Amino acid sequence: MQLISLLLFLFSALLFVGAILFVAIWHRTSRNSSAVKILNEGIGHIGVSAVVAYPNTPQPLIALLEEEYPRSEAVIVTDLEHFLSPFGELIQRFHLVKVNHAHLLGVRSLYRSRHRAFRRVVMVDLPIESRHRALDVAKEVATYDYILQLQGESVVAHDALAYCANIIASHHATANISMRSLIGAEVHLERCDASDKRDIIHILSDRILAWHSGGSCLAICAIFIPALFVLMAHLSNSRVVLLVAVTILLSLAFCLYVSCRVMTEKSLFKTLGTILYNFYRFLIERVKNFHYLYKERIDRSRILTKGVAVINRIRKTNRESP
Amino acid sequence: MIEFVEEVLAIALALPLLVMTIHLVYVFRRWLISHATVRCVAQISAMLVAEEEPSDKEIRSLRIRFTKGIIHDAVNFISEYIYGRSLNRLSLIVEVCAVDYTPIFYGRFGEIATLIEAYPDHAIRYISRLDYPLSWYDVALLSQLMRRAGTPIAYTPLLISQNRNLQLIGLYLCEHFSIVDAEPHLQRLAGSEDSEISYIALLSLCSIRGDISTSQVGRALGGLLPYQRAAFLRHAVHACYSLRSCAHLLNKREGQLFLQRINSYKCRIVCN
Amino acid sequence: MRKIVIYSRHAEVRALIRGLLSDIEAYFVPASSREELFKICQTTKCDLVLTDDVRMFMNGSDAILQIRQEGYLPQIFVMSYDLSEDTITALLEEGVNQFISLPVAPERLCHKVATQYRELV
Repeated sequence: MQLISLLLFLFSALLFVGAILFVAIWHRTSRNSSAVKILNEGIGHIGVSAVVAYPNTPQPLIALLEEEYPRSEAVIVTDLEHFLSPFGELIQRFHLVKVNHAHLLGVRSLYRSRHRAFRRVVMVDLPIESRHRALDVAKEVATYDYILQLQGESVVAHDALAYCANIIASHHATANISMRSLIGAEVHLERCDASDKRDIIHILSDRILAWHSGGSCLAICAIFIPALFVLMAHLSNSRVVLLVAVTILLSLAFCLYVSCRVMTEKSLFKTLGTILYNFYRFLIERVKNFHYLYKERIDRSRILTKGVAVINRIRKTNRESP
Repeated sequence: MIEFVEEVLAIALALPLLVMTIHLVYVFRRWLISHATVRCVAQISAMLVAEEEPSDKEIRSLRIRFTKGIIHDAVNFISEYIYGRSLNRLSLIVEVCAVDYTPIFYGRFGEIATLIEAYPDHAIRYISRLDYPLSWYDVALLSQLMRRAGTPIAYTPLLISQNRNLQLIGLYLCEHFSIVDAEPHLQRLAGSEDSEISYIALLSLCSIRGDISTSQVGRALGGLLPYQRAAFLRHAVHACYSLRSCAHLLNKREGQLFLQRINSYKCRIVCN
Repeated sequence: MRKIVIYSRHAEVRALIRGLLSDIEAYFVPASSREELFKICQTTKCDLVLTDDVRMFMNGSDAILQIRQEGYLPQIFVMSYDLSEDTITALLEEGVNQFISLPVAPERLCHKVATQYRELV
């Protein structure tokens, strides 16, 4: 019995530490995200082609077309033989025509749009057996220098490509960029033409992929389980069980604090469910990658201090001479 | 002991309710703030277009109706959408309401943003005195800042300047506004010893559809790394250059790739 | 009196445009979503649609057809930061009438709207 109590206590302590870590890392990523302000216009020649490989529905493509960053493109790789009905309609919708693709091995057809309004849509008909080549083919057909790989079911956050362009422009232009979110979801920004894959910049960011939506049931369970613990504590007069319940509830409070800052979901239970689901994914990710360290190439505090020193010198010079 | 446990139990049971209440209060507060910001924006924008300049009394009434934070958000929002003479009126509102104008997202450029807002004519001078290299993102941000402040910017002095940061700003402006008259300067910068400046000048030349068959461009291309050459070709295809215009700059394999890429934008029309 | 629909997802943008056009005598109708905009255009005869949602015309949803029902052909003015030649040409090809680049001078915006309907001034 004591062993169970001890285990319960350890579990709750780990959960509590996990919640604090969650909030701390989230604060750090949100500070970095706000430091890279989204510029409303294009950033010169920097462009991003987003590649969606074998999605189940055209929704990821439609979501990418809502992107406001002008130098962006959506490349959809699909097998039209097996998925003609959802994706065949896109050909008509975006006035796609088959273009020359003889140089692309294994590709059945390549579609681009005749209309300028849909020039950002590219569809590649690649057999599903060759899906390992999807990225290579996308690099061949992409218009811009950087490719953002997305899995079929990924939900892209609003202005994700603009954020990617800002990140590319902020960092050394030759490197590939790996962005990892709190919940372990990873997206890669690869240069289409770079051969040296060793140079990778790691960034912690939640701006690319939207968090997965959690259900209201999860939220309701999350509230009733600690309440059950409390009841058990009252019946068994066990302080440890009580402590576990209180810890779970405190962790919940931390997560809800993050949800208040992140979610725009109006339903309280759905918000709670989403945050709990992603918190659970965060914990799993930390356990799996216990030794993973998030590397950031720019030491922002150092540059800020340096920048302020320079500005003070300018001010002093300004005061001395008109 | 039992009373203590009961107290803790009561607190623990009340905690979910407390958390939910806090969340609801936060959501409600956010809703109130956004509504207040909308009303503040409407009022300020009406002041900006009024025939008469708003009096201090009118502006102070704004300060009474809305908090500093809301006015700060409203002013920053409006300043992103408008420019010109109305910005002077906005500055007047900022001054009378004693609002901190500098947006926090300018980060390390917060101080320089303040200087540029105060003395827009000296913006180039301030930027030239920065002793660290600007990234392309920094250049875009500073250009936006200067345009917002109404700084008069001429691209020629920037492009002929020896200061690398100013050259980058000049290149950004040429690319962003497709300034075709800057072609001779871009050709000259393409031959620059700084590889990054040379590379960006080549891409800017592509974006304005300048002449890429010159010897300067050829020399610059020869000095590029393989991935930069490939990226340049990608940009040239996107800018609708023909193979003939740059065939002499490319080797056989690159020429083939160039042609294949151009063809991937074309479809074959079959006439029966 | 002319009817001008101001569509933007952000309430601040709607308030700003409404404030900048306060000198113009017209009936302003705000719309906060695409569905609302289409409904307004289909049920009432509006003369001008002012919007900052560029992507509405470039995502294959035939927004132009939904806005311009038979007999009602409002002018469409789009405001955006995106200054690229391609985007402007694409929008004009889709049927957008005027493209206003942001940031905009308020007097210029008023002038553009007023030029369209001289009796509004």
